[in-house]
Amino acid sequence: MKVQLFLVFLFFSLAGCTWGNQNTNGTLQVNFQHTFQNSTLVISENNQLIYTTATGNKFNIKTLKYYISKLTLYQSNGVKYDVNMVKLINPMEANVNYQNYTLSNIPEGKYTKISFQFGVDSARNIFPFGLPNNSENNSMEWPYTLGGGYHFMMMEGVFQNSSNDTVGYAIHLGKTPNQIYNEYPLDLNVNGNDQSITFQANIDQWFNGINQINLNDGYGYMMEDQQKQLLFKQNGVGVFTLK
Amino acid sequence: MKKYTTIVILLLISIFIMQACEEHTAAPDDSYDFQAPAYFPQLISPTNNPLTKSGVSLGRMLFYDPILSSDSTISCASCHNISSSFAENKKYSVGVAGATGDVNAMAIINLAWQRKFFWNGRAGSLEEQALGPVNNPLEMHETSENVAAKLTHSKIYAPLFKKAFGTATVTPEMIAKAISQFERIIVSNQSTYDKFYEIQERAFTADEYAGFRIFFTERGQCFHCHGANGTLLAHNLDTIFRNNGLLTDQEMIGKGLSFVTKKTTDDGKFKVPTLRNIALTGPYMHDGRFENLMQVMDFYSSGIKQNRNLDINFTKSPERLEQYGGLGLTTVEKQQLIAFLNTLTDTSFTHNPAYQNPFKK
Ligand code: HEC
Ligand code: HEC
Repeated sequence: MKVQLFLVFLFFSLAGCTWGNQNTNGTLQVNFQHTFQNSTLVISENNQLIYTTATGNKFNIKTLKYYISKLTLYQSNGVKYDVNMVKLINPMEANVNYQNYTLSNIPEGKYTKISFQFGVDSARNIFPFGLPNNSENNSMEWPYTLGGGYHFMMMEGVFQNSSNDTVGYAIHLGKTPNQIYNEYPLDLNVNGNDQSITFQANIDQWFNGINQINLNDGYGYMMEDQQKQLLFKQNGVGVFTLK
Repeated sequence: MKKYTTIVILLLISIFIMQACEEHTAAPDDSYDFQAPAYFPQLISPTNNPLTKSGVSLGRMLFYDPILSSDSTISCASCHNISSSFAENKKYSVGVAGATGDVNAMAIINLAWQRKFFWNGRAGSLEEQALGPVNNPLEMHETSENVAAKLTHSKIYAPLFKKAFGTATVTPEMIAKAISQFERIIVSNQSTYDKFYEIQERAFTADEYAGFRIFFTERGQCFHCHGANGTLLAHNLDTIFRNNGLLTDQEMIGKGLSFVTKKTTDDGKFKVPTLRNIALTGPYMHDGRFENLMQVMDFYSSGIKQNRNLDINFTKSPERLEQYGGLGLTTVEKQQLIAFLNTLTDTSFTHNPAYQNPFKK
């Protein structure tokens, strides 16, 4: 009896908001897929050196996580769809929800461009707690002593150095000037539908862009070294491609 | 119109159900008002064990009562002493009949924010953890079923369980829930370090600030493992177990997180402990090998063992490891780090009446 009454109740309350109102807004799931030299990226647990950089460093990747923000859609007439989002992309997690972001309620229209920013947006990249104070964001904190905000990316692993020892590297990027703006042409018609697109993050490009990175040059202590971070900011421009 | 009738009927039904349940659930005004500063991380508390005043107060009694041990000699508080921030100033704890374990008792501070317990992370919740010591032959050497029976027959406890959980027939689960509730409210947030959030570096003396800087820069690397500026709570799941180079390749086999995961890549990874009240919780490390903080600083400076799972935050500077066997801290830097660690001491915590032995008058 209770159940029936409840169903009646549900029906009426839902009916109230759906009748006579054809929804033309759409959703777009934006996926991030990670590759190294065109094969699916493998995150290592052990010290096996499964990859080689363009400069010949044998290495692996044990940790990779990074923020993207400001996913924005544009129509050719200048209309923008901007939800002011930020999301931690974490390829170490098996659950794909750590590797995508869904834009919802996108107004009907034809969108011809998409852009996003690598890193946390300036307004939120502050100390303390520009982002919600949860363990996910806390683990990315960029200490107050170093200017505050968040690590935009943590990429860590081991490599074989010039004395043939297997040692660590830690590519840590942060600080507002090191955000990377990315934009791509798009052909997206929104009319009440659910769609998806995929960015491929070509992780090898971080090492092999305008700057050829040699891990022997010391990538362990770069949080206070803007010169080193700049090399990655410049390489980062080629990392994400729209599939 | 029909909609409103339905709502009214539904409301009436729910009032009726609530009335009927009154006996079995704690009264609404029994909910415990748990406050933590805004700069603490969001709390994710289990929905099946909400904090209640009667649950917390019962948990506190159980924590301090040796009734939980086989010969009524040992309580949780025997090894978790409030004046040591609920750790113990002994290398190894002594359980029932003088049995000793081989790990150092851990502090109980701000555990409400954590998800894995024990040095090797073998408990996934406080509820799961709470009965571990009871059943451990080296600790309380009891069985949880036996304790439940003792408490059911106790004139003092039976009504308290009824008040907190709706039934006077005590189960191990209820014991675990009550103790966990008490543990969750044990919070430290009144140290000198906590003032940093209000007044930034003005919270510190020059030495303390110098230590703070070493801690929170790549000079010390400490922050990469010991938690965000936020709270110095050891934080989330993916960074909580680390290998800081205490053990050699041989020594670490099967020890630490690998005990649980059976992965050799987890050998020697231990729970990153909170550093809050660290000046009070010695001896240090899972095996209590260091008597004081200077020995800990010496270890990070020059005693790190280069095992196969040594954390990247140390292996990324092979030159320093080679030259110093660690970070190569100067004596002054070590003193500054210790000065900073001392700012984490919170004496209002160790004197908090809400945490003290309820049986002591
Ligand atoms: C005989 C000494 C002893 C007794 C009694 C004892 N403990 Fe412990 N406690 C320890 C030791 C030692 C550890 C670390 C054990 C390990 O990691 O294997 C520990 C760890 C813990 C932890 C984990 C903390 C963390 O950060 O992961 C909690 C919580 C705890 N004890 C609560 C209790 C409670 C509740 C009781 C009573 C039911 C109790 N203990 C009784 C010695 C004791
Ligand atoms: C690679 C991660 C890592 C880094 C970096 C690190 N620690 Fe630790 N620390 C740990 C772990 C893990 C433990 C517990 C190890 C154990 O007992 O087996 C620990 C234990 C401690 C303890 C003892 C805690 C206790 O309750 O016994 C102190 C004090 C400490 N660390 C201070 C520091 C300081 C100061 C620094 C910077 C100089 C630092 N740590 C850097 C991971 C780290």
